[in-house]
Amino acid sequence: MRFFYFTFVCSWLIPYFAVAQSKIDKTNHSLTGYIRDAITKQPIQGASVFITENRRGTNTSRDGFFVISLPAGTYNVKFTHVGFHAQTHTITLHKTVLTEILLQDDSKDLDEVTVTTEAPDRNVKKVELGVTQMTIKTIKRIPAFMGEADVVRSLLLLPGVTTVGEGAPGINVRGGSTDQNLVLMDDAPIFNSSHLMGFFSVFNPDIVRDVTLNRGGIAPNMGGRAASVLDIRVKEPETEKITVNGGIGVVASRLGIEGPIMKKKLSFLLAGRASFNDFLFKLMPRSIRDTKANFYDVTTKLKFQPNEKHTVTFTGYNSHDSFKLASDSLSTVEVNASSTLFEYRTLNGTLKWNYSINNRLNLATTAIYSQYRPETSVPDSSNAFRLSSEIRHRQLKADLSFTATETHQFQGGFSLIDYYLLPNKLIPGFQSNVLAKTLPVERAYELAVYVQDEWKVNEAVSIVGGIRYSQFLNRGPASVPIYEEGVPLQPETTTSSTTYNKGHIFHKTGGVEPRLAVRWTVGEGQSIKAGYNRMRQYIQQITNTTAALPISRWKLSDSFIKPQIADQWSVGYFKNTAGNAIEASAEVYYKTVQNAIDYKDGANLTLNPTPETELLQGSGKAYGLETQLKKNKGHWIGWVSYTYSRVLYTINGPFPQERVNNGQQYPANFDKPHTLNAMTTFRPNNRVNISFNFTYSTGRPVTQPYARARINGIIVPIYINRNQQRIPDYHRLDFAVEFNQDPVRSDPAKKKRYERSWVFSIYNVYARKNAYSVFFKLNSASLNDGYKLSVFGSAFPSLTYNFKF
Amino acid sequence: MKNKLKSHRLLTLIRITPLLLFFSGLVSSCLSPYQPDTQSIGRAVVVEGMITDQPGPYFVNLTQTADYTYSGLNLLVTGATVTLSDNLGNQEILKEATPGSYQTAANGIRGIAGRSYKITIRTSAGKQYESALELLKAAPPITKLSSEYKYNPAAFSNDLRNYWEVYLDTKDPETPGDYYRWVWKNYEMTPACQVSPGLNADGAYTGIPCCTACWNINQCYSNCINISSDAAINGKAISRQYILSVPFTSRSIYYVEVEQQSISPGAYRFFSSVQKLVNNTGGLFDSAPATVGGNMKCTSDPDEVVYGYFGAAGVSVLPLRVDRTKDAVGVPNGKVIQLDNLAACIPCMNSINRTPTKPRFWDQ
Repeated sequence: MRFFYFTFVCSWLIPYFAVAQSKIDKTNHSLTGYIRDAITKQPIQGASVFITENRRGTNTSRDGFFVISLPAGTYNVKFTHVGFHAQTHTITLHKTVLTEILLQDDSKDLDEVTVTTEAPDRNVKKVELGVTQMTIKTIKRIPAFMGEADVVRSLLLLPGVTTVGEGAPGINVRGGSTDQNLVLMDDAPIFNSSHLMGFFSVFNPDIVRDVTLNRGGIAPNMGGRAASVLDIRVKEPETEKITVNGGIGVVASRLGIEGPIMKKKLSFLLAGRASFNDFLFKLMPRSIRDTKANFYDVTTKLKFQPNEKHTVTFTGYNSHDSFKLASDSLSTVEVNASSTLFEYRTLNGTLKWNYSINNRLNLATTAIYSQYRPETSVPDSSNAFRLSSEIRHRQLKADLSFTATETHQFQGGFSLIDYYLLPNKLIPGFQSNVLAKTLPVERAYELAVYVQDEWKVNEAVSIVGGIRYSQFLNRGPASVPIYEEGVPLQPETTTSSTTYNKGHIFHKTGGVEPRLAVRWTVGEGQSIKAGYNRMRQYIQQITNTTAALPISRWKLSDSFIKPQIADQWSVGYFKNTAGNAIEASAEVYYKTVQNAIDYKDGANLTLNPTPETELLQGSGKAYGLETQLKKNKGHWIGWVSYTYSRVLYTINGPFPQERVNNGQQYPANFDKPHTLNAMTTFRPNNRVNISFNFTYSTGRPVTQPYARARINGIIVPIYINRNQQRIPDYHRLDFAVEFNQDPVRSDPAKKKRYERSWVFSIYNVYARKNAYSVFFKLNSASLNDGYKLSVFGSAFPSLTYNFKF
Repeated sequence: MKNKLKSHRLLTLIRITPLLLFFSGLVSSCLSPYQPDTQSIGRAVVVEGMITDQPGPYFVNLTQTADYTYSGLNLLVTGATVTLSDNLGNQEILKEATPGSYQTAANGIRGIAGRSYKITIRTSAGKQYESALELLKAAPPITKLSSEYKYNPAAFSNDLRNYWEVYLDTKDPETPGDYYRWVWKNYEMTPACQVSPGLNADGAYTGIPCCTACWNINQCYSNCINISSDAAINGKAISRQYILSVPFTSRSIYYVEVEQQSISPGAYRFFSSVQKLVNNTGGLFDSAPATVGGNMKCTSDPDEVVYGYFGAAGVSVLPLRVDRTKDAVGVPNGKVIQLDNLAACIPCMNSINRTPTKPRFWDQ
């Protein structure tokens, strides 16, 4: 009776579980295990496991883990992955079998796929669309500016990813602003992904395992930003022996150490990178000669695996930038000083416990701390001040995945984020005229729960569907202004304010975020995919500049600033031919954004206690076509992609001063319709690697003066509508050659003890003077008053030396 | 042995690196002329003018915008009828003193705190423009002006190496929403009303004497918008507000009159947007360029755009005499003038740069 009752409840709650249980009890056993790289012992994601006898298969997860349930018997199991030699094992299954498969790198075969380590047919088979994974191997092959392999810059070669300018911080994904990307480094959000104001990214290439950009088809377990999720995974520490690696470059030098502390149980990784390039500026023109720019970052990872069931990892990251400009050339900061120092720090920590409860259930619990502290300071005695701000993101999340049957895989979980945001704090220096000012701290919780199911409907059709519900709760202490009704929000129209006590929830917002992706295999190596997702964003970086500065203010959504809500529909066609050596894809997307943010004319947000009076919210829409053709095998590999994309805003408030361009639709700052990227690598032998990279894009929109007027003796340019002109188109060719002194041997036993390589690269080979900005300065001596500023107006050669022993 | 080899390689690398840096140093950022297709909006009227609670005359200047590519400036609007009126029905028609510049009579209308003022303009082509009503708000008095000697060894010439920074102190009224603008005028008594363009044999300029007492007027010529609001300091003292830097052009007393204007919130926004636009270089980190608005509108054609501001401001004035005999080191860097006493004297003409009228506080 009790047994019956149990079964009844079970089948009510999780029928698939019950069905699965009964099946296994009769005939099935689980074949499980890990697939790893034979040399590095890194888990291989997306490797395929194929049972020759019944033509069934599966792919490994992120940890290289796979599970397949089979009737008892003996099987020939084939393990394959691109870039590795395939292996076939004969496995007898009478009980649950746990196995470890070590695949060997096939780079000596020159058949290596350097573009991706995804499964060869992943392009066609995976359900999600708009998701691209790049390994660090690929990133390192791309010719880099000043020889510094760059995770974020390399993404600019992908379709749908653009930037407002060379050296601008952040990326724009499918018409999203830079703060609409959730950048995660081992689950911890990174609020500023660039070093030196945007020239380099904050990720040390030596510690990155892979980078996944989700620009469409974002899974329900991720959320909080409107445009994309950039997921950066730190590599697992080596478990076999202590290894030291590093590199010496023009911009920065790197050193890392990793290895076991307790054999096979506890291992560590510690890597640092620092720049010593002040003297670079000494060689530059007088205007920037006194510039000082330095950064360092340190990454650490500890992995503790007492047994196969439990894995605990800790990832720590700390970075610091200091950028001193001899004079203040950043007028938005509104300081008159002989020098300005910008500093920013990131401190992140992630503690993750992965508990593999049984073959079907896995629970991952993660605690995250992320802190970002930018600061601007002026040392001059009479005007001395420090303007600082701080974001603290504390998060707890749990994700439970459950492989119910061959056809259903469920996942569910929750996340709780506690935000602490200090918008601006102005601290006067000693004997300074500046008045101290601190804006009140903003505090809020962001809660989210989700469920999803990956359902293989039949051989041809698979669906990943789910729902996320998020809720944002602003809490006290706070003082919220009340504005006069029926007039535009202005600091003068404040009538009174309401004060809330500590912990009091004074504002709530939230809603459901449905996510759906469908794949339909239409023929051999061909599929059609479609997807829809909704994303809600409750924290934004507010700045009235084209590119956000690392010191730009962040703002939580509140009673006045509504969360940005993006709905995206996309459909694509994918085809692989020539044994997966050639991949082709075309995707179309259409996206709408509710509550898109722009600013009133001349808005000033720094130290502004009422930013809502300067912000305007309206609607945005973005659409585009992304096409890509990729060759994965042979001496020549590479890809070509062309993207057409638009992003248009309409800000039409009830009052004239709450409209942009009179309420007409206008292109956003990062609207760049045409983009063409091409990247190719030639590998004549296993010592030399030659890469080229070409990029072309339409110039970004700018606002140019229509006329000039003389007002109080000052010549003032007259602007009418925003973003009606464009700067000249952008194009550039880069080149890199890598020379390996100690080429990789096929036999790991004979592998040399050390690896050394030289990378010579030229950025902007034909020295095009691409426009960074176009501006007007009246010059009585010449008739010409329009100027074009090129930041990288010449060819930049560089040499980097890398070693590993 | 292996280690030795390795360190040798590292050393060569270190030697190579500066060479590479030199390479990249050669190729830094550059500025090149670039003329995009600019668009024309035709000519729009630009108005500037202000009434204060100080004695008149008050000026209204009418100009037109020029195309951005056109190098000529200052297209004047002549032959217009400009009427200044207050909310009590008093009004005065301004006279066109010089082309495009209209002024009230010396004994005409006088601004009074608490009243509101506006101008209406009718051009010779029959177009009509009108400003919003601007409330004239009395300005709090300047409590103190002070100067501080500074030395900047990096400056190019000695008049800029030695300088005195002038600061203003005032007390902001308890009421919120006060906006300030500061302007200054330096008066320097001059014996010569005309100065030779070049130096004579003695290394001095030859000057022709003035017939009467005469003062040269200097005022701010670049980055001149000095404004502030009481948003952060309401009801408190504004202290050490920077006004100007007095150059070391002579060892004589430097006489400066500082004017504190109490301007309207609209005027404040207008000046602050002009200030931002002038400093904008179109870079990625510059704030987005904004439309210069103002408080003028075209009443004969609501779609026509007009730029500029007609303001009303309460004003308080305080003089400061900066003693340049102390502190400064080296030789002052100013014009040395030798008077040609044989030449016939030249009358001192009233202009923006010169006046025969003794400054208000000169004898105090």
